[in-house]
Amino acid sequence: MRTEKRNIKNKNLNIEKPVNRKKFLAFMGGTLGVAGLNCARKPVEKIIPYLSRPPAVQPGIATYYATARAYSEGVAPVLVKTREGKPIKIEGLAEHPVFKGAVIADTYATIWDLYDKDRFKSAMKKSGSTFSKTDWAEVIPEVKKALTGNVRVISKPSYSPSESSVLKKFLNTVNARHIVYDPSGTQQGILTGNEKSFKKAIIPQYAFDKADLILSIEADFLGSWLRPDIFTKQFASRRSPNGKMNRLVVAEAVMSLTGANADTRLAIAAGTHLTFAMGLASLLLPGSMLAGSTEVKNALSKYSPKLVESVTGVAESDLKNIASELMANVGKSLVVGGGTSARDGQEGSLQIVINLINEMLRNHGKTITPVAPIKGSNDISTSQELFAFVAEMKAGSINTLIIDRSNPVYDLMPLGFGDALTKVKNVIFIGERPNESSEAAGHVLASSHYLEDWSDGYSCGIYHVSQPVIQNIFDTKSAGDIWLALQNQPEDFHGFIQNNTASRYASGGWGKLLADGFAVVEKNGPANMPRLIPNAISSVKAPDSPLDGQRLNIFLSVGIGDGSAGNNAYRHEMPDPITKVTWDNVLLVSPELAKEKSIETESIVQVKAGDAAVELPVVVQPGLQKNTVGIAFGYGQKNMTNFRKDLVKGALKDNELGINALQFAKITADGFSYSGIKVSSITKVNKSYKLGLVQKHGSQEKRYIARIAKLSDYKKDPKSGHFEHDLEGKGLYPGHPHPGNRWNLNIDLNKCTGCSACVVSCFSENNIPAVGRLENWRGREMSWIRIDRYYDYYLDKHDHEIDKSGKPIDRSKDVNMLQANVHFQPVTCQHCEQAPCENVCPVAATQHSPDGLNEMAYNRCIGTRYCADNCPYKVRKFNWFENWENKIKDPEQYALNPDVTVRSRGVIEKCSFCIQRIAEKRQEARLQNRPISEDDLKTACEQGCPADAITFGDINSKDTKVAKLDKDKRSYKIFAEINTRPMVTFMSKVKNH
Amino acid sequence: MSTSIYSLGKSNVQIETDILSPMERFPGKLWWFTFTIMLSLALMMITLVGWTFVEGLGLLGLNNPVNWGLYIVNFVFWVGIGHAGTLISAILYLFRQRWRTTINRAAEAMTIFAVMTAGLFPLIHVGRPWMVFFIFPYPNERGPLWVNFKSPLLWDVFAISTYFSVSLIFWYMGLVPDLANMRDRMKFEHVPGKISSWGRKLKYGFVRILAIGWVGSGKTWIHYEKMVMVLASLATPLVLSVHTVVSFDFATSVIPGWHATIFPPYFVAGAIYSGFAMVLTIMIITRKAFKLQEYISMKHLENMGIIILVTGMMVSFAYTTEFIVAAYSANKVEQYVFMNRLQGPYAWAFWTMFAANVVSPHFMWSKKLRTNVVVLFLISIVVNIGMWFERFVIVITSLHRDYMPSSWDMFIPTWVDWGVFVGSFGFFFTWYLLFVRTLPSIAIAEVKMDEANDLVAKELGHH
Repeated sequence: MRTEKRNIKNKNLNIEKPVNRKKFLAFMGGTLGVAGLNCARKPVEKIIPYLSRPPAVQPGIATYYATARAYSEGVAPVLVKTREGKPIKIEGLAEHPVFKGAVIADTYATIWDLYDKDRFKSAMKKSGSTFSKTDWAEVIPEVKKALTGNVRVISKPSYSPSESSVLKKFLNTVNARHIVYDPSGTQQGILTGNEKSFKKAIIPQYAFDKADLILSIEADFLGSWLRPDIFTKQFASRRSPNGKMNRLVVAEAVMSLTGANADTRLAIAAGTHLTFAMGLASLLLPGSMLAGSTEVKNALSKYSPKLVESVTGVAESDLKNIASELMANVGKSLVVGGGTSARDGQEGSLQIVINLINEMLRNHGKTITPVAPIKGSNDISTSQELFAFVAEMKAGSINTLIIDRSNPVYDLMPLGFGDALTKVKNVIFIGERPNESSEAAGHVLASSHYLEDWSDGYSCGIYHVSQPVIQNIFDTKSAGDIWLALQNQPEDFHGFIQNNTASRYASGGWGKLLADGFAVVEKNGPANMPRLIPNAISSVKAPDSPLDGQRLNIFLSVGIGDGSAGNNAYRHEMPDPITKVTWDNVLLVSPELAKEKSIETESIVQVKAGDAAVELPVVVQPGLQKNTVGIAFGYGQKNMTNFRKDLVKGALKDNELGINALQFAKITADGFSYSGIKVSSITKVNKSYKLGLVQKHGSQEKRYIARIAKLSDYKKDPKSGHFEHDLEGKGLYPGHPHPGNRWNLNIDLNKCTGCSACVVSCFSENNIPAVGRLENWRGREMSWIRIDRYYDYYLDKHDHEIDKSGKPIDRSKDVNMLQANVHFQPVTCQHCEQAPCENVCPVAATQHSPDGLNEMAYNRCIGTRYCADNCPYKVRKFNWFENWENKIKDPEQYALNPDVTVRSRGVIEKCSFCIQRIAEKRQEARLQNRPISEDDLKTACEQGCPADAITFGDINSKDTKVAKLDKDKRSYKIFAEINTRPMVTFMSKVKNH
Repeated sequence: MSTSIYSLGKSNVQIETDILSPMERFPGKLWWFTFTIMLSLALMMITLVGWTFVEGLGLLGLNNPVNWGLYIVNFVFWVGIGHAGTLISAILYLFRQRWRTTINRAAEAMTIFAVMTAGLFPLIHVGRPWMVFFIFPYPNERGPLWVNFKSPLLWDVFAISTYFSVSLIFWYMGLVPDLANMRDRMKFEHVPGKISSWGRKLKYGFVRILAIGWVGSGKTWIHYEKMVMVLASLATPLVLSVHTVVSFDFATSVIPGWHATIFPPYFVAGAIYSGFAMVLTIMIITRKAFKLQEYISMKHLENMGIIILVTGMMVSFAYTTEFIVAAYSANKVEQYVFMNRLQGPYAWAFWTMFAANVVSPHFMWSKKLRTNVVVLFLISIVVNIGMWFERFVIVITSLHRDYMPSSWDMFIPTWVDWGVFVGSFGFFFTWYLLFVRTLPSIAIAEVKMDEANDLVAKELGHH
């Protein structure tokens, strides 16, 4: 080659001359060289390999850390999956004795809170009206300088003993006072009521798994009340019709997730929960241990079943039936009540009645115990304290207010907190991301996400440590570190937790604590509640005459909660379990009212209540009385204004998502009223609106898709509720051989509560994009597992609608569908053995695997969408637009699971049965030369399900759980008559009545 | 021997002049006006399709239950239009229907352009059009990875490409004697007109090449006639097969409203129905614009009117059968789909289709009406509107409410959907307008032959 090179250099090559061998080679070399240059790669940017690999990090292999999310609503123990040093998935901590691996959708979604592009990236300082970056060395002294005069700290309830103690020290150092408020009122109601009933303000431990009969009054314990993760786990553990199945009775105004799961649901008029509870107590009183108490008798005597019927709308006979059922289950029942929609202006009043009922039913000490309580002390300020504080602010006597990870400007809007805040000289905000309150602050101290920094939590008698699993992504500090820094403590919060708190609680040592994620301090067990003070009841004032006009309840939604993390697209993309609305909150109205006002779902109405006149969209919701309307809390916050434009396009107001329901809230002398608010008018507005509704039809049209039977019928015939035409025919093509494993998914509809944790778990595991409200309106949601929700009546042999007693239903007499059953049915790809999608793909991009999976080759897919058309289950999703490239912003990409392909525009995608998990475990098993065990292989939805409704496993081996469930009499396939032979088995729902 | 339905009594030269003179003149204002509109529509379609290539198919109104929308409706519609041409030239040829002579050329051209238009849609409606070559079974280094021969979409690829190529060859072969005629006229006769000498030279060159040295000797004609017979026989089954295969896209699926064994004959009948309606539309315009009333006589139009009546009743029969089968099936899902067509949110589409396809052809019973050009023109347009809605009803109403009520949704076309739909007419008519200006839209040689036969018949004394 040397000579040829010289040739090129020295001689002036002339093509005209005859080409000899050397010249030819020279040309070839030159051409190849130029061709090679063309393909030179772009210089690769800094990739710094580990010089010595940390022992815990094996590239390509996930590392799991046990940690906990300690936040204002409790402690949620989690297992965090990290890959190459980055957390990518939240999972349940199965070893936890109370949670047993249960995680709710809200906690799954925190992974995206971590990689939120809108977070504060450093401490900030306001100059004029704009914030500018500053560093900690500068901001801490400035904040310290402001800590003179009247200093106050406002925050939400805390479950972290270490944070509480460093905060207490800080308060002592600067002589400040602490105000704590509870945005949803759930904890405050229970704590206040228990303080009055027992002189002990705790949130006790509930044992839903020990109760044969559960009555909930407005408490959405499966969705948004206290700890739905624990309660769902406990509740679902008793939903097997073969054992002693529990029975759930719910009395509520607006359909909640719990109400939807009720065996008997009593729709009460909004704002009359107290009357219902008092009426029930009054029926239970004779013959009970409190029968002798005259105070109780006097307080209750007024509330006869007749009065209860006239006020709440619940038939006398229904109330009497519930009372006698409860009396038959003394010591084996559980009555709970409360929540946002029961916040009626007298904090704790419902809890007092509930306490009385449970006492009469001897449930205290059995299904309700004070040992290892959810919350052991009351740190929440009373409403009076809160009112006084706001008055102080308004008077201008507060010099400095530190707002700790909360948003009082929004949450305490009914008190005029925002206006009062302008009178405070120095406002300092601690938090992760901007909100209404941070806007009003002069300094912002950026706090870390719980996965980035140290913290701890104490709940249910268990001490949890919250350890960092990634280094701080931005220049943030944990709240504990901030408090320590503000009081000149050289120690860091990590050291404080390890040396002061953990040593006190965890006897097994620091290493074990970090490995386990928790340490049991106090074990739950039978122990009685403190002595009940019966005459606490005398302070309760329940409505004793029907509430006039239309009444509004503000409730807590499952997806958004109080809205403090509402800038997370996935929290909005998860459809509301009941309404199936995404990216909006709506006014829920009964079918009867809708008919009267000639409004329908997606209409816009103007609601006037008090001073507020608000336009908002409507969803017609079965299960409401005519005089009741409802709206979810938490929407219309500032943190929801920063979404990518295409996600929120077409929202009711530009740059605002949903409606702030607190505009309707009222303040009473005793607290906040979110329940039974009088609505002066609801008028239809002539505007068209596109609502991001992912399910537009609510009935299964008698197609036996989600099947149901009554427990009494089931006991007689386990096949009860099944469709007689389930048959399997022959196909044109021979079946697929499955020599090894054959995967099968079993979904027990009796356990499924519809909580949607599986949906969010799947979003996170399988890199599913959020597509936004207009795309959802169009019908282009991308979720691989969806939860179908139907409202239907029982059917008799001739497909006529009947009620639970077998009488024909007259739809015109049940316009509001109060008698209807609510079904939840998670639907994933059914992985049909005779898959209609596989036959029709012209390029063979979807194929059947030997282990029974219906596989998608994204690279082969050209996007004819024939498969999606031909799928009877409509589980195939098409990428209508590019959902990732140029759409996600740094650092959002780190939340993606590196084991799952990110799908480009123009291809079909669908549930893969978490094939990446199967592959991982198969590889592990092969290396160890053993079969895959069903215990270590769980799909994301199975693992995500707090109710244990989903079972995944190998149906080829006889003794797996899934193979046994498949033979259960309740098991069936949907649309078996098309001969698709799905690999997803459903087990019919059995209602206990 | 039957007498011709048209009798001209014209000299060969006169026939040539009548048919070829429009090609030899510079196009008039009307032509340019129409052409500009149609070309702009076609360009609009190309722009919109380009936009979907860049942004994604999300620009259309599609969603999860309705994954196929107007693109597929248009596809089936245009394939249907593309039926009449080959039917006229092949099947009617084999059955010695002489009245086809004067309409077959234009009808075949219409077929070619309609199939071209139809063929666009499957290509532009895929999610990744740049990967669309995956659909062809070519040897490759991926295994080799083959296409899925079980898929009706693949059958479509074969059926339509075969139909297109055979139709194209058949059409071109029919053109050769006429092209030679044009060539000779250009060479030996002075043709007046505004076309420049340069343009004329270029045109002559093309025509000469396309005429592939046709001399018109007796021997050539013997071979030619045989070849036409063979091609006609080849094309005949294709007329039936192509829409049969298109119907398989639907019939072999499991979707209620699609899954029906009656689909193949039903689709073929529908295709002939719409194809003849389109031929009628085009012929009425062409004969008027180019003053060819003598060649395309009222009898021609009447015959096509009768075919529309017959195929219209066949289609109505198929509709009835579908409903009866659904009622009889004891299949709730199937029954729901058909009830939904009658009274669901897309009932307006069904009833439009019903009025246009089932009711309107019955006007053809009346001789007075079917010999009235205006009535025929209106009916032909109405039938094609109806047939477009038939495909809309089949595709959209079946998909939007199928098995899972939880997934039911609506298909609301966006302006991109409509733009591409309108643009497809622009695309089709752009080609057709170019055709009528460049190639003889009536088969000159065949007309001459008919005239000669008439003469012979007369001389032999048959009346």
